[in-house]
Amino acid sequence: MGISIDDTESHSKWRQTSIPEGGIGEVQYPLLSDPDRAITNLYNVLHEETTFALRGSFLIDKEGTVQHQVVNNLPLGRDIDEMLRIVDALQFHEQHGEVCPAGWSPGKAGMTPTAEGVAQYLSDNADSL
Amino acid sequence: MSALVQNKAPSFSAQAIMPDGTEQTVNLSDYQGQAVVLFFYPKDFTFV
Repeated sequence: MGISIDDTESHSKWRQTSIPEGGIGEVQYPLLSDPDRAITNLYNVLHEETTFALRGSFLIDKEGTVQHQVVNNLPLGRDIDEMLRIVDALQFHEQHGEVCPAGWSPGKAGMTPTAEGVAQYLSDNADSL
Repeated sequence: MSALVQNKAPSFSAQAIMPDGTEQTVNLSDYQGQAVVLFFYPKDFTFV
């Protein structure tokens, strides 16, 4: 879900504007409104000078625990493919119990988080690292 | 500023425009049992 300090009227207009016309189009997730900055402050992503929200992204798991966060300053757009990779990594970990080593992507091997597991992973994957 | 990672996500309730275009109240707790990606952005009509 997306969230900004704009009111719902603005969100509605943004959704009703097509992408070529500068809108976001009919996105299939909720757009939340935080005009009093309460949620922006709770997540510690207030841009002091403009009082807008920074480009902060959070992945919250099924139990409500924050598993990932990345916060960019205003000029720096985010990488949605990286968020999707992290979602895949979390699902992989939840299903298999193994951890996702550096550079992991779907289809690649996980790793057992022990000294033996790391050694095994490195010897199996030395050629591709 | 400390990271929220490993903490419970702060709960919230907000007015929202839903995928069908209607306005509703969204509570984070409505999504218990599902993973949620929450992304803040500065302003409508900018890039995300």
